[in-house]
Amino acid sequence: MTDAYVETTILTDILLKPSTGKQQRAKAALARYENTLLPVYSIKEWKAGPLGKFAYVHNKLVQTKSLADTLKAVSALARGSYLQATSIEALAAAGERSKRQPRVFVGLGDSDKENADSYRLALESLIIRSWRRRRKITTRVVDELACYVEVSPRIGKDGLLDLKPQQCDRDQECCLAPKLRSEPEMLEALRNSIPENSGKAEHQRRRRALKQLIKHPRERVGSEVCRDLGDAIFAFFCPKNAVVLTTNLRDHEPLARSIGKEAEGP
Amino acid sequence: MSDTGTGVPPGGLRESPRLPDETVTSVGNPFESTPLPARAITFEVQGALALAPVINIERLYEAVPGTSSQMVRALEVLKHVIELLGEAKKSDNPIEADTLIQSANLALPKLFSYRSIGDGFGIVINSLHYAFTNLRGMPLTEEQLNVIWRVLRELRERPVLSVEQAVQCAEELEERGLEVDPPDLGDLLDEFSIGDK
Repeated sequence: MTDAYVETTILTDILLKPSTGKQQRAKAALARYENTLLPVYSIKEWKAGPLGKFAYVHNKLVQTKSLADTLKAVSALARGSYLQATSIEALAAAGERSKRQPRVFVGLGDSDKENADSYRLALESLIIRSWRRRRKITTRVVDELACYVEVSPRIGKDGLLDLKPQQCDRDQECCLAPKLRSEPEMLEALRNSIPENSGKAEHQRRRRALKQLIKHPRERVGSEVCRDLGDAIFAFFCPKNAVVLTTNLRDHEPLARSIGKEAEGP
Repeated sequence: MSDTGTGVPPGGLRESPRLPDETVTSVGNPFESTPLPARAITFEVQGALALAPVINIERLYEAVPGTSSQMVRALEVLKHVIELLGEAKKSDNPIEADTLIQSANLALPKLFSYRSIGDGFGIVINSLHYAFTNLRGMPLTEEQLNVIWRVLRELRERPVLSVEQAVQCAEELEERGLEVDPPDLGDLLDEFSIGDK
Protein backbone atom coordinates (compact mmCIF):
# COMPACT_ATOMS: atom_id res chain seq x y z
CA MET A 1 0.00 0.00 0.00
CA THR A 2 1.28 3.43 -0.88
CA ASP A 3 -1.04 5.47 1.32
CA ALA A 4 -1.71 5.71 5.05
CA TYR A 5 -5.01 6.84 6.55
CA VAL A 6 -3.83 8.37 9.81
CA GLU A 7 -5.76 7.51 12.96
CA THR A 8 -6.00 9.57 16.15
CA THR A 9 -3.35 7.66 18.12
CA ILE A 10 -0.66 8.48 15.55
CA LEU A 11 -1.67 12.15 15.52
CA THR A 12 -1.46 12.12 19.32
CA ASP A 13 1.96 10.50 19.46
CA ILE A 14 3.35 13.02 17.01
CA LEU A 15 1.80 16.13 18.51
CA LEU A 16 1.60 15.48 22.23
CA LYS A 17 4.48 13.16 23.07
CA PRO A 18 7.45 15.35 22.27
CA SER A 19 10.93 13.88 22.36
CA THR A 20 9.74 10.33 23.04
CA GLY A 21 10.27 7.04 21.27
CA LYS A 22 6.57 7.00 20.43
CA GLN A 23 6.87 10.28 18.58
CA GLN A 24 9.91 9.03 16.66
CA ARG A 25 8.18 5.77 15.71
CA ALA A 26 5.05 7.59 14.56
CA LYS A 27 7.10 9.99 12.43
CA ALA A 28 9.09 7.12 10.94
CA ALA A 29 5.84 5.31 10.14
CA LEU A 30 4.52 8.31 8.18
CA ALA A 31 7.74 8.38 6.19
CA ARG A 32 7.05 4.83 4.92
CA TYR A 33 4.15 5.98 2.75
CA GLU A 34 4.01 8.03 -0.39
CA ASN A 35 0.79 9.75 0.68
CA THR A 36 -0.35 10.26 4.25
CA LEU A 37 -3.99 11.22 4.67
CA LEU A 38 -5.31 12.80 7.83
CA PRO A 39 -9.11 12.66 8.13
CA VAL A 40 -10.64 15.55 10.06
CA TYR A 41 -12.36 12.91 12.20
CA SER A 42 -8.88 12.24 13.69
CA ILE A 43 -8.52 15.91 14.56
CA LYS A 44 -11.98 15.89 16.17
CA GLU A 45 -11.17 12.82 18.29
CA TRP A 46 -7.74 14.21 19.20
CA LYS A 47 -9.18 17.51 20.38
CA ALA A 48 -11.95 15.85 22.37
CA GLY A 49 -9.59 13.25 23.89
CA PRO A 50 -5.85 13.72 24.39
CA LEU A 51 -5.74 17.49 23.85
CA GLY A 52 -8.71 17.84 26.21
CA LYS A 53 -6.80 15.90 28.89
CA PHE A 54 -3.84 18.24 28.62
CA ALA A 55 -6.19 21.22 28.86
CA TYR A 56 -7.73 19.63 31.95
CA VAL A 57 -4.32 19.30 33.61
CA HIS A 58 -3.50 22.89 32.61
CA ASN A 59 -6.71 24.16 34.14
CA LYS A 60 -6.17 22.11 37.28
CA LEU A 61 -2.75 23.76 37.64
CA VAL A 62 -4.39 27.18 37.29
CA GLN A 63 -6.93 26.22 39.94
CA THR A 64 -4.66 24.53 42.51
CA LYS A 65 -1.42 26.45 41.84
CA SER A 66 0.26 23.24 42.98
CA LEU A 67 1.94 20.57 40.85
CA ALA A 68 1.66 17.99 43.63
CA ASP A 69 -2.07 18.60 44.16
CA THR A 70 -2.74 18.55 40.42
CA LEU A 71 -0.95 15.26 39.93
CA LYS A 72 -2.79 13.78 42.88
CA ALA A 73 -6.10 14.89 41.36
CA VAL A 74 -5.15 13.34 38.01
CA SER A 75 -4.07 10.17 39.75
CA ALA A 76 -7.38 9.93 41.60
CA LEU A 77 -9.26 10.22 38.30
CA ALA A 78 -7.10 7.77 36.37
CA ARG A 79 -8.63 4.38 35.97
CA GLY A 80 -7.38 1.73 38.36
CA SER A 81 -5.48 4.19 40.48
CA TYR A 82 -6.92 2.69 43.65
CA LEU A 83 -5.64 -0.76 42.81
CA GLN A 84 -2.18 -0.23 41.44
CA ALA A 85 0.61 2.22 41.61
CA THR A 86 0.90 4.12 38.39
CA SER A 87 3.63 6.37 37.18
CA ILE A 88 1.25 9.27 37.75
CA GLU A 89 1.30 8.40 41.42
CA ALA A 90 5.05 8.32 41.24
CA LEU A 91 5.01 11.75 39.68
CA ALA A 92 2.63 12.94 42.37
CA ALA A 93 5.02 11.63 44.97
CA ALA A 94 7.84 13.46 43.23
CA GLY A 95 5.71 16.60 43.28
CA GLU A 96 5.17 16.11 47.01
CA ARG A 97 8.91 15.88 47.49
CA SER A 98 9.39 19.03 45.48
CA LYS A 99 7.34 20.86 48.11
CA ARG A 100 10.00 20.06 50.67
CA GLN A 101 13.08 19.49 48.59
CA PRO A 102 14.06 21.84 45.79
CA ARG A 103 15.41 20.62 42.45
CA VAL A 104 13.73 17.22 42.46
CA PHE A 105 11.50 18.08 39.53
CA VAL A 106 12.65 19.38 36.16
CA GLY A 107 10.22 22.28 36.24
CA LEU A 108 11.64 25.73 36.79
CA GLY A 109 11.75 27.11 40.29
CA ASP A 110 12.27 25.83 43.81
CA SER A 111 8.73 25.60 45.11
CA ASP A 112 5.72 23.49 44.26
CA LYS A 113 3.94 26.66 43.14
CA GLU A 114 6.77 27.60 40.77
CA ASN A 115 6.86 24.05 39.38
CA ALA A 116 3.12 24.28 38.81
CA ASP A 117 3.58 27.50 36.87
CA SER A 118 6.39 25.98 34.84
CA TYR A 119 4.21 23.03 33.81
CA ARG A 120 1.20 25.26 33.21
CA LEU A 121 3.19 27.42 30.79
CA ALA A 122 4.71 24.33 29.14
CA LEU A 123 1.25 22.85 28.58
CA GLU A 124 -0.09 26.15 27.27
CA SER A 125 2.77 26.36 24.79
CA LEU A 126 2.48 22.71 23.70
CA ILE A 127 -1.30 22.90 23.25
CA ILE A 128 -1.01 25.98 21.04
CA ARG A 129 1.92 24.61 19.02
CA SER A 130 0.29 21.23 18.51
CA TRP A 131 -2.93 22.89 17.37
CA ARG A 132 -1.01 24.93 14.79
CA ARG A 133 0.72 21.80 13.50
CA ARG A 134 -2.24 19.47 13.35
CA ARG A 135 -2.82 19.94 9.61
CA LYS A 136 0.86 19.93 8.71
CA ILE A 137 2.00 16.47 9.73
CA THR A 138 0.60 14.60 6.72
CA THR A 139 0.78 15.17 2.99
CA ARG A 140 -2.98 15.82 2.87
CA VAL A 141 -5.95 16.50 5.13
CA VAL A 142 -9.01 14.62 3.86
CA ASP A 143 -12.67 13.97 4.62
CA GLU A 144 -13.53 17.40 5.94
CA LEU A 145 -16.53 17.42 8.26
CA ALA A 146 -19.16 20.00 7.38
CA CYS A 147 -20.83 19.56 10.77
CA TYR A 148 -17.64 20.14 12.80
CA VAL A 149 -15.91 23.47 13.25
CA GLU A 150 -12.22 23.50 14.16
CA VAL A 151 -12.05 26.34 16.66
CA SER A 152 -8.62 27.19 18.09
CA PRO A 153 -8.02 26.75 21.83
CA ARG A 154 -8.61 29.97 23.73
CA ILE A 155 -7.27 31.24 27.05
CA GLY A 156 -9.93 33.06 29.05
CA LYS A 157 -9.43 36.01 31.35
CA ASP A 158 -9.50 33.53 34.22
CA GLY A 159 -6.45 31.82 32.71
CA LEU A 160 -8.37 28.66 31.87
CA LEU A 161 -8.02 26.98 28.49
CA ASP A 162 -11.24 26.56 26.58
CA LEU A 163 -11.30 23.91 23.85
CA LYS A 164 -14.98 24.15 22.96
CA PRO A 165 -16.46 22.99 20.67
CA GLN A 166 -15.13 19.44 21.00
CA GLN A 167 -18.04 17.74 19.30
CA CYS A 168 -20.04 18.22 16.12
CA ASP A 169 -22.89 20.67 15.81
CA ARG A 170 -25.80 19.03 17.64
CA ASP A 171 -28.38 20.79 15.48
CA GLN A 172 -27.12 19.23 12.28
CA GLU A 173 -27.20 15.66 11.12
CA CYS A 174 -23.77 14.03 10.87
CA CYS A 175 -22.38 14.88 7.44
CA LEU A 176 -21.01 11.34 7.11
CA ALA A 177 -24.48 9.79 7.44
CA PRO A 178 -25.40 9.60 3.71
CA LYS A 179 -22.19 7.75 2.82
CA LEU A 180 -22.54 5.39 5.77
CA ARG A 181 -26.16 4.58 4.87
CA SER A 182 -25.24 3.84 1.28
CA GLU A 183 -23.15 0.80 2.30
CA PRO A 184 -25.33 -1.32 4.62
CA GLU A 185 -23.34 -4.51 3.93
CA MET A 186 -20.19 -2.82 5.06
CA LEU A 187 -21.90 -1.61 8.23
CA GLU A 188 -23.11 -5.15 8.90
CA ALA A 189 -19.61 -6.59 8.43
CA LEU A 190 -18.13 -3.99 10.74
CA ARG A 191 -20.74 -4.76 13.40
CA ASN A 192 -20.11 -8.49 13.13
CA SER A 193 -16.40 -7.95 13.68
CA ILE A 194 -17.01 -6.56 17.16
CA PRO A 195 -17.45 -9.38 19.70
CA GLU A 196 -21.02 -9.38 20.98
CA ASN A 197 -19.86 -10.23 24.48
CA SER A 198 -17.02 -7.69 24.59
CA GLY A 199 -16.60 -6.18 28.04
CA LYS A 200 -15.38 -2.87 26.64
CA ALA A 201 -18.02 -0.16 26.88
CA GLU A 202 -16.55 1.40 23.75
CA HIS A 203 -17.30 -1.77 21.77
CA GLN A 204 -20.86 -1.95 23.02
CA ARG A 205 -21.48 1.68 22.07
CA ARG A 206 -20.05 1.05 18.60
CA ARG A 207 -22.24 -2.01 18.07
CA ARG A 208 -25.31 0.01 19.09
CA ALA A 209 -24.42 2.88 16.76
CA LEU A 210 -23.88 0.50 13.83
CA LYS A 211 -27.14 -1.30 14.62
CA GLN A 212 -29.02 1.99 14.54
CA LEU A 213 -27.61 2.80 11.11
CA ILE A 214 -28.44 -0.67 9.79
CA LYS A 215 -31.92 -1.11 11.28
CA HIS A 216 -33.15 2.47 11.16
CA PRO A 217 -31.44 4.08 8.17
CA ARG A 218 -33.94 6.92 8.05
CA GLU A 219 -33.32 7.96 11.64
CA ARG A 220 -31.32 11.11 12.16
CA VAL A 221 -27.63 10.45 12.88
CA GLY A 222 -26.60 12.81 15.65
CA SER A 223 -23.24 13.75 17.10
CA GLU A 224 -23.42 10.98 19.73
CA VAL A 225 -23.80 8.23 17.11
CA CYS A 226 -20.96 9.76 15.09
CA ARG A 227 -18.74 9.77 18.21
CA ASP A 228 -19.71 6.21 19.17
CA LEU A 229 -18.87 4.87 15.71
CA GLY A 230 -15.29 5.88 16.51
CA ASP A 231 -12.80 3.36 15.12
CA ALA A 232 -15.38 2.02 12.62
CA ILE A 233 -15.25 5.39 10.83
CA PHE A 234 -11.57 4.83 9.98
CA ALA A 235 -12.11 1.36 8.50
CA PHE A 236 -15.16 2.56 6.57
CA PHE A 237 -13.62 5.68 5.03
CA CYS A 238 -10.06 4.41 4.55
CA PRO A 239 -9.42 4.44 0.77
CA LYS A 240 -8.85 1.04 -0.91
CA ASN A 241 -5.19 1.80 -1.67
CA ALA A 242 -4.48 2.86 1.92
CA VAL A 243 -4.01 1.24 5.32
CA VAL A 244 -5.36 2.52 8.62
CA LEU A 245 -2.21 3.65 10.41
CA THR A 246 -2.71 3.29 14.16
CA THR A 247 -1.02 2.24 17.40
CA ASN A 248 -4.29 0.53 18.42
CA LEU A 249 -4.15 -2.53 16.20
CA ARG A 250 -6.20 -4.59 18.64
CA ASP A 251 -9.32 -2.58 17.85
CA HIS A 252 -8.61 -1.47 14.29
CA GLU A 253 -7.33 -4.67 12.72
CA PRO A 254 -10.57 -6.72 13.04
CA LEU A 255 -12.65 -3.80 11.81
CA ALA A 256 -10.47 -3.18 8.75
CA ARG A 257 -10.13 -6.89 7.94
CA SER A 258 -13.89 -7.40 8.06
CA ILE A 259 -14.32 -5.19 4.99
CA GLY A 260 -11.19 -6.24 3.09
CA LYS A 261 -8.94 -3.47 4.32
CA GLU A 262 -5.77 -3.39 6.41
CA ALA A 263 -4.53 -1.72 9.55
CA GLU A 264 -0.83 -1.26 10.29
CA GLY A 265 1.14 -0.17 13.32
CA PRO A 266 3.99 2.32 13.31
CA MET B 1 25.28 21.65 38.62
CA SER B 2 28.59 22.92 39.79
CA ASP B 3 29.33 26.56 39.47
CA THR B 4 33.05 25.89 39.49
CA GLY B 5 34.72 27.88 36.84
CA THR B 6 31.71 29.97 36.00
CA GLY B 7 32.57 32.76 38.34
CA VAL B 8 29.21 32.37 40.03
CA PRO B 9 29.34 32.78 43.80
CA PRO B 10 27.23 30.17 45.66
CA GLY B 11 23.61 31.18 46.02
CA GLY B 12 24.25 34.40 44.22
CA LEU B 13 21.69 33.94 41.49
CA ARG B 14 18.92 34.14 44.03
CA GLU B 15 19.99 37.70 44.75
CA SER B 16 18.64 40.59 42.80
CA PRO B 17 21.01 42.18 40.35
CA ARG B 18 22.53 45.36 41.61
CA LEU B 19 21.02 48.57 40.53
CA PRO B 20 22.51 51.51 38.69
CA ASP B 21 24.62 53.01 41.42
CA GLU B 22 27.01 50.19 40.67
CA THR B 23 29.09 50.64 37.64
CA VAL B 24 31.05 47.51 36.97
CA THR B 25 30.01 44.97 34.40
CA SER B 26 31.64 41.60 34.22
CA VAL B 27 30.56 39.00 31.73
CA GLY B 28 31.84 36.30 34.05
CA ASN B 29 29.75 37.42 37.00
CA PRO B 30 25.98 37.34 36.72
CA PHE B 31 25.46 39.18 39.99
CA GLU B 32 26.78 42.41 38.76
CA SER B 33 25.03 44.22 36.05
CA THR B 34 25.54 47.29 34.03
CA PRO B 35 23.43 50.24 35.03
CA LEU B 36 20.91 51.09 32.41
CA PRO B 37 22.17 54.25 30.75
CA ALA B 38 19.80 57.11 30.27
CA ARG B 39 19.35 57.50 26.53
CA ALA B 40 17.53 60.00 24.48
CA ILE B 41 14.35 59.08 22.67
CA THR B 42 15.32 57.93 19.21
CA PHE B 43 13.37 58.23 15.99
CA GLU B 44 13.33 55.22 13.73
CA VAL B 45 11.46 54.55 10.52
CA GLN B 46 9.55 51.29 10.95
CA GLY B 47 6.61 50.48 8.68
CA ALA B 48 3.27 51.74 9.94
CA LEU B 49 5.06 53.47 12.77
CA ALA B 50 7.21 55.51 10.40
CA LEU B 51 8.38 58.73 12.00
CA ALA B 52 6.75 57.84 15.29
CA PRO B 53 9.12 58.19 18.21
CA VAL B 54 10.48 54.83 19.29
CA ILE B 55 11.37 54.82 22.93
CA ASN B 56 14.30 52.61 23.71
CA ILE B 57 13.40 49.84 26.17
CA GLU B 58 16.18 50.97 28.51
CA ARG B 59 14.76 54.49 28.52
CA LEU B 60 11.23 53.23 28.96
CA TYR B 61 12.15 51.20 32.00
CA GLU B 62 15.01 53.33 33.18
CA ALA B 63 16.37 51.98 36.42
CA VAL B 64 16.21 54.30 39.35
CA PRO B 65 18.42 53.59 42.37
CA GLY B 66 16.42 51.68 44.95
CA THR B 67 13.69 50.68 42.52
CA SER B 68 12.15 47.26 42.96
CA SER B 69 10.41 47.00 39.63
CA GLN B 70 10.33 43.42 38.34
CA MET B 71 10.63 44.77 34.82
CA VAL B 72 13.80 46.72 35.55
CA ARG B 73 15.39 43.74 37.27
CA ALA B 74 14.33 41.38 34.50
CA LEU B 75 15.82 43.67 31.87
CA GLU B 76 19.07 43.83 33.79
CA VAL B 77 19.37 40.06 34.09
CA LEU B 78 18.39 39.65 30.46
CA LYS B 79 21.06 42.13 29.45
CA HIS B 80 23.64 40.18 31.37
CA VAL B 81 22.56 36.85 29.89
CA ILE B 82 22.65 38.31 26.38
CA GLU B 83 26.17 39.58 27.05
CA LEU B 84 27.23 36.13 28.24
CA LEU B 85 25.84 34.51 25.12
CA GLY B 86 27.35 37.23 22.96
CA GLU B 87 30.76 36.47 24.45
CA ALA B 88 30.16 32.75 23.87
CA LYS B 89 29.33 33.47 20.23
CA LYS B 90 32.60 35.33 19.79
CA SER B 91 34.74 32.81 21.62
CA ASP B 92 36.83 30.38 19.60
CA ASN B 93 37.50 28.30 22.71
CA PRO B 94 34.69 25.70 23.01
CA ILE B 95 35.23 25.17 26.76
CA GLU B 96 35.10 28.89 27.46
CA ALA B 97 32.00 29.23 25.27
CA ASP B 98 30.21 26.38 27.00
CA THR B 99 31.11 27.79 30.41
CA LEU B 100 29.59 31.14 29.44
CA ILE B 101 26.46 29.35 28.19
CA GLN B 102 26.22 27.45 31.49
CA SER B 103 26.32 30.74 33.34
CA ALA B 104 23.52 32.04 31.16
CA ASN B 105 21.53 28.86 31.85
CA LEU B 106 21.97 29.39 35.60
CA ALA B 107 20.21 32.73 35.32
CA LEU B 108 16.99 31.19 33.96
CA PRO B 109 15.43 30.47 37.39
CA LYS B 110 16.00 34.11 38.31
CA LEU B 111 14.37 35.24 35.07
CA PHE B 112 11.47 32.83 35.66
CA SER B 113 10.83 34.52 38.99
CA TYR B 114 9.89 37.62 36.95
CA ARG B 115 7.17 35.76 35.04
CA SER B 116 4.51 38.08 36.47
CA ILE B 117 5.61 40.34 33.60
CA GLY B 118 3.40 38.10 31.49
CA ASP B 119 2.74 34.54 30.33
CA GLY B 120 4.57 35.29 27.08
CA PHE B 121 7.73 36.14 29.03
CA GLY B 122 7.25 33.02 31.17
CA ILE B 123 6.81 30.77 28.14
CA VAL B 124 10.05 31.94 26.50
CA ILE B 125 12.11 31.46 29.67
CA ASN B 126 10.39 28.14 30.39
CA SER B 127 11.07 26.91 26.83
CA LEU B 128 14.75 27.78 27.20
CA HIS B 129 14.90 25.93 30.52
CA TYR B 130 13.47 22.74 28.99
CA ALA B 131 15.72 23.14 25.94
CA PHE B 132 18.78 23.11 28.21
CA THR B 133 17.33 20.29 30.35
CA ASN B 134 16.71 18.11 27.31
CA LEU B 135 20.24 18.70 26.04
CA ARG B 136 21.49 16.94 29.20
CA GLY B 137 24.66 18.96 29.27
CA MET B 138 25.49 18.64 25.59
CA PRO B 139 26.96 21.88 24.23
CA LEU B 140 24.87 24.06 21.95
CA THR B 141 25.58 24.12 18.25
CA GLU B 142 26.46 27.46 16.72
CA GLU B 143 22.97 27.69 15.20
CA GLN B 144 21.34 26.93 18.53
CA LEU B 145 23.44 29.50 20.32
CA ASN B 146 22.53 32.09 17.68
CA VAL B 147 18.80 31.45 17.94
CA ILE B 148 18.81 31.57 21.76
CA TRP B 149 20.79 34.81 21.70
CA ARG B 150 18.38 36.30 19.16
CA VAL B 151 15.25 35.16 21.03
CA LEU B 152 16.54 36.67 24.27
CA ARG B 153 17.42 39.93 22.52
CA GLU B 154 13.88 40.07 21.16
CA LEU B 155 12.53 39.29 24.60
CA ARG B 156 14.50 42.16 26.06
CA GLU B 157 13.16 44.50 23.38
CA ARG B 158 9.59 43.30 23.92
CA PRO B 159 9.32 41.68 27.35
CA VAL B 160 5.54 42.04 27.42
CA LEU B 161 5.01 39.80 24.41
CA SER B 162 1.83 37.86 23.79
CA VAL B 163 1.46 34.12 24.31
CA GLU B 164 1.24 33.72 20.52
CA GLN B 165 4.51 35.59 20.03
CA ALA B 166 6.14 33.52 22.75
CA VAL B 167 4.96 30.31 21.11
CA GLN B 168 6.55 31.54 17.87
CA CYS B 169 9.83 31.92 19.76
CA ALA B 170 9.47 28.36 21.05
CA GLU B 171 8.90 27.18 17.48
CA GLU B 172 12.06 28.97 16.34
CA LEU B 173 14.01 27.14 19.04
CA GLU B 174 12.49 23.84 17.91
CA GLU B 175 13.46 24.53 14.31
CA ARG B 176 17.09 24.49 15.47
CA GLY B 177 16.66 21.08 17.09
CA LEU B 178 16.03 22.29 20.64
CA GLU B 179 13.34 20.33 22.50
CA VAL B 180 11.33 22.84 24.48
CA ASP B 181 8.84 20.59 26.30
CA PRO B 182 9.15 18.84 29.67
CA PRO B 183 10.45 15.33 28.98
CA ASP B 184 7.70 13.66 31.04
CA LEU B 185 4.60 15.12 29.37
CA GLY B 186 4.14 12.11 27.08
CA ASP B 187 4.12 9.77 30.07
CA LEU B 188 1.53 11.95 31.76
CA LEU B 189 -0.84 11.46 28.83
CA ASP B 190 -0.25 7.71 28.67
CA GLU B 191 -1.15 7.23 32.30
CA PHE B 192 -4.07 9.63 32.35
CA SER B 193 -6.71 7.22 31.08
CA ILE B 194 -9.78 8.92 32.50
CA GLY B 195 -12.36 9.55 29.81
CA ASP B 196 -10.89 7.02 27.42
CA LYS B 197 -13.34 5.26 25.20
